[in-house]
Amino acid sequence: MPVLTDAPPTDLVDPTVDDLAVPATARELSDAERARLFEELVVPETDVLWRVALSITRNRADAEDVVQETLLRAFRSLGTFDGRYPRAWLLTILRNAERNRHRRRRPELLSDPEMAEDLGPRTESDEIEVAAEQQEFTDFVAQAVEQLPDGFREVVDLVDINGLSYQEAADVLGVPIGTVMSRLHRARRRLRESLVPAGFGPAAPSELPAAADGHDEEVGR
Amino acid sequence: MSDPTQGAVPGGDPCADAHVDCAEVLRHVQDVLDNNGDVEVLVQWTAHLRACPPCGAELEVYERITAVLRERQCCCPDDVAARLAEFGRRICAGDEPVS
Repeated sequence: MPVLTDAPPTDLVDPTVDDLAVPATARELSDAERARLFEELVVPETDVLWRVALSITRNRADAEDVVQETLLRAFRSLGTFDGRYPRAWLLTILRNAERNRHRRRRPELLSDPEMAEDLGPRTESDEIEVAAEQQEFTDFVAQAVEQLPDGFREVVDLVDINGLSYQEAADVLGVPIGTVMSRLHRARRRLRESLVPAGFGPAAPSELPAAADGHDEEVGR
Repeated sequence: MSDPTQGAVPGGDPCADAHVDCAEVLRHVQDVLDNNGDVEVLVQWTAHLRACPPCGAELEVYERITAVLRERQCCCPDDVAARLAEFGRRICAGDEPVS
């Protein structure tokens, strides 16, 4: 991990401010140096950025737009970045890019179920009974994820599907890490409980405290 | 289908593990799943989950769910990756698109 500057922590990009704003502490980069840093720090994260963008936009075209905007903002902000934790830095930029894009769109488009289906159906597998049962289970879980409130679905998508850490998911969503953990656990608990009536799993132990649901307004959009 | 959680519920068969309470482990089964928390406690919980079939079954349910979810991860399609790479090259070449 290259350390690009000995600048104090105040040089870190503040995720609460527009990452396009150039602080007084920004250092000048030559075109060649900027391109090298872009190649070294940003390009390797493109695949992760796209997957995260797809998670939060639910649409491939929008995901590509968000990643392009993120790449552009990152390129322009390289002079303010200290080189540490590029993924966290990029995820924060992506979050801001998505928020700006979201403000420009009609919100009802984001909850269009047909757009969610853009993610595509699961592959079919009915060659043998076990494979068929597994496919049914896979399909059921996929459907159950889609039926989660947005705030729950997002953390499942980011952490369980796309492999982000709690902290990385918190960076993307702009929430505390404890909120990510709480939403994730509650979301999984819902998925787990949904298996029972569908015949895919045993009843949950009855002495477990009820999942802390009833606060969907906090996680829906 | 038999209820593999029988031993963990009040009135069910007592769990053979006298050191760890089933209810406590079940409350934290997702912490074990994520390997999240104090290592010593996780080791204790994990040992219980191996020894107690009802609790172990609960962990297996969560493991099956998360395994399915992991398989849903998709990579950036080649055509999109190519366009994004080209976009990056244009940025570096000073050909910044209007955004």
